Amino acid sequence: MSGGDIFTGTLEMLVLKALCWQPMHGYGINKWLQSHGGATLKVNEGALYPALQRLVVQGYVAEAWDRTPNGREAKFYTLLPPGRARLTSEVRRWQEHTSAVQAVLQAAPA
Amino acid sequence: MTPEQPLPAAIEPDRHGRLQWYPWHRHAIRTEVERELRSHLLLHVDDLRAQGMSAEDAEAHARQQFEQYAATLTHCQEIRMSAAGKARRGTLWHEFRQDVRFALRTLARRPGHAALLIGTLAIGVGSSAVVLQTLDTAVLSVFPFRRPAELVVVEPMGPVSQSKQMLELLRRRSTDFTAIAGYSQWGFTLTGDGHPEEVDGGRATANLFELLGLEAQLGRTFAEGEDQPGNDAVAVISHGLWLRRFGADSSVVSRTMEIDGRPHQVIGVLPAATTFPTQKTEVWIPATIEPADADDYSTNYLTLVGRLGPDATIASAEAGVNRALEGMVVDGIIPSLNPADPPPSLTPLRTWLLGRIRPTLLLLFGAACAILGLACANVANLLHVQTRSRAQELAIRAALGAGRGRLVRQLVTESLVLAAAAAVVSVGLAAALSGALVLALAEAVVPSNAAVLGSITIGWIIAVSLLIGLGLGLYRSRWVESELSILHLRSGSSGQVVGWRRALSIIAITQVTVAVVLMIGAALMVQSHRRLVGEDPGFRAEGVLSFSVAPPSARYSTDEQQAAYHKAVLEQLLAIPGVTVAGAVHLMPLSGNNWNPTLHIEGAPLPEGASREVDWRSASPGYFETMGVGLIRGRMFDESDHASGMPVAVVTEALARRDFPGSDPIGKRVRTGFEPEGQYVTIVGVVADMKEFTLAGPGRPAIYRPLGQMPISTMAMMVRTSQSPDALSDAVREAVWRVDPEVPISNPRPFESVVRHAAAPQRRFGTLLGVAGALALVIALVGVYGMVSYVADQRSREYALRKAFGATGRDISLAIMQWAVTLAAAGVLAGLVAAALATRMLGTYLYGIAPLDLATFAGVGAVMVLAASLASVRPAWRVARADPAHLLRA
Repeated sequence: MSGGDIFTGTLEMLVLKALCWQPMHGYGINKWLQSHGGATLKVNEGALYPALQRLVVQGYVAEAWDRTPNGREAKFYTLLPPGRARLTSEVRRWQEHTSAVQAVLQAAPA
Repeated sequence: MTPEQPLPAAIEPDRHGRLQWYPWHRHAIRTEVERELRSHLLLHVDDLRAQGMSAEDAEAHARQQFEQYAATLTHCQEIRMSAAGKARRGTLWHEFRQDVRFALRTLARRPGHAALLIGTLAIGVGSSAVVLQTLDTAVLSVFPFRRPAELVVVEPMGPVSQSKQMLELLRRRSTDFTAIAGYSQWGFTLTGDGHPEEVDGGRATANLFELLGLEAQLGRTFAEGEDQPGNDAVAVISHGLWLRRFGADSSVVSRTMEIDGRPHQVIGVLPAATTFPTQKTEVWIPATIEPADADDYSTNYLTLVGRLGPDATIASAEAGVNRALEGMVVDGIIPSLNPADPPPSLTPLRTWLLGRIRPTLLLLFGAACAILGLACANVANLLHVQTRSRAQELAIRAALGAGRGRLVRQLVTESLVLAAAAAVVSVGLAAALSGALVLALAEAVVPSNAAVLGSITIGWIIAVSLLIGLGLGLYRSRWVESELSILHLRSGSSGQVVGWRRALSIIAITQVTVAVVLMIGAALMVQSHRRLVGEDPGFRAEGVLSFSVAPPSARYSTDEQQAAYHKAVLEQLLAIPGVTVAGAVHLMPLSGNNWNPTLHIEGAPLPEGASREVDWRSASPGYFETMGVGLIRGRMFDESDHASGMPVAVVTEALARRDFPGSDPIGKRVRTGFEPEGQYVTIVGVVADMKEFTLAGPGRPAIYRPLGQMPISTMAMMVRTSQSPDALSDAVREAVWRVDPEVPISNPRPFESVVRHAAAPQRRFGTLLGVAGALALVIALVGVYGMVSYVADQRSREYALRKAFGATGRDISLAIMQWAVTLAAAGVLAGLVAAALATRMLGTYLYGIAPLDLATFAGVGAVMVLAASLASVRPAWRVARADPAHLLRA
């Protein structure tokens, strides 16, 4: 994924996941991540919005202005088919990565 | 917080649901990102207020929670801008490739037309490149001197060579120079290692090379003091000589050469392509002056070269030299200065060495650029019709939303493709022709690698082609704009079209005029050459081999020695199998050398103020027979004509006719200034006329004295053979060296090539003018073709109306051709007038044909008119064939 570190890659994967079921705006994505992942996953806005821009530029999500149920205007992001495919592959990579890390951490002296 | 804004307007999302930004949307991007971040804050505030916070607290809290608001804004902007940049570049590249493909397809659809366009451009670019290439190698580069701007040739008393004493005096008395050196050009005889040969070389003061900044590639150049007697047995040789005579031996620096009979040690080899002062300068020895040689004019013919000091200018240095001269008068060193003598003059070394050729080349370059301009005008014109129909299509696309910039880019790309093709062809043309130009300017100082295209020339071709492509493209896009406005205003032909047509007519007529002038010049030159070479020269050149021998004066100082030597050589030559007859004469025929004293006839003194000049030659028995010149009366030279025999002479018919009209010259006594004082010679024979001195004009009055009675040291030998003359070269050399192996012999050449060389200026001019004329003709014809196409297209509506009213296609095309021929005739007329004025400049080169030769003028004029009418056939036919209804609807 784009971004230099694992964190950025992970963040974008999470955002894609958040958009799996319905379009959301940036504030909503943040709330969704916290509600599902707990306070640990509170994302800094300074990381979230650039991540969203990158996802748009790379063609994984679409963007459009719309109104929230409360009548506020907000920019909604929608997952696109390429983004869905990307999510799948990133999730698989993440799982492989964590299994490997787990295996190392649980290693007994040889 | 600011009130809410309406939904977006300017930028629509693309089919991916993505807002398509371009780099110029910087402000819009910023606004968009700001808007999004602000909406984030608003949503946060809503939540907080829903939890019970007050409005102000909620705002403050929300802001505080959003760390680094400004930085996030910038970061998001950067991401978008970078993506926008990439998108833009991608689109540009994609569109460029599209345009190139389209351009190539368009050209391929009409290959003849494409060839015409590319060819015309290539002629223009190529001819300017050729001249530039020669300029580059002859004038701009190949000057291996240190800081050449400081080098000047010093002529203290006008264009006269100076003595070494003068050099010393100027050195001491003039403060404007950091150094002064001198050199003279001289021919040397090399003997010793290898065959004797004669080479061009120079004598130089010891500081010459150091002053010029010329360093040896091997060994060294002269050191101080080596031009003093006793130290001067050294020599510096050229790269060419090193290769030829020493086989590029790296130990050449210790070897010795015999120069004019004296040994010199080779101390250094100059770098290749050092063309100072000429290409052919091969060896340098110090310019020594020995007390006994004070009269030796070889050291008194120095050209002085000075290096200007840091504060000196040419003007100040000239004044300084003047002052020095005056000082010398005051000190009694030189006699008074004659006010009628030319004043001291300093010329930059570069100008002095290349002076003759630079103006010619610059003129040629100007002419070539003019041709380039005309070629561009032609191409623009040819593209005109094409552009106009494209313009409609492009204007419609513009109206439908394609950016104007996009269309301009397309037209420019198409023109660049055309220009690139022309550039490629130009490179080929330039490479092929620049060698020819060098040959044509053969007498100039042009190094032999001039045919390889240099970086300046390639750069010129690329730059000019780029400019042409851009210019053409931009010019054509102007038409798009004018078509746009026409669409809007629905007007017909605007005023600018008429103005353009007038300009085009003038251009086309000018091209025809120029072509006519050049073609007439070429025709006159070619005819001159043919007449020069075609007339009976009085001798028979086929089968004759010619060369010179130069027995060194050291060993052949007396008349008897010289006469004996030449007699021995002729005997050896006659012994060669295949040689039928051989003879010698002291000046090589057609070499441009002549001795022509006044003839005195015994008993018929010259009236006051009259002149009676004759060409004087010393010739051996067998000379006339070798040249194939017949005897008219009396006898030719034979063995009895030796030193103690009666002094005799043989004269030509022309002399007999001029000086002894109606009477028999045999037995008459005459003399010239070359005969010893008071001695008259008796005419014993009259031979047929021969064009011995020059091919131009009839045979001249000439008098010949026998070699045995008037020996000259250097003689030209002519050998007639029944085989091919070339085959005898080696045998001839061996024969000469059998008599004395130390006597140099010039390169044996078939006399036919000498004759051809004598007609060289005419041939060269003829070739140059011919090529220029051919180019100008092509351009003029293209111009006419383009002109007619354009006007026919402009007037297509009118023609369509005429057709609708019953005119046939033939009527139309005849009308068009008539107009084209009128145009061409105007150009031809102007051309004839201009040529009448210009051919006078050909002056002395014309032979046997008048500058205003009626047949030539009429012939060229007729050809031009015919060619122009042929050029107009196709466009006329095209319009005539077109369906009138279609034309009217367009």
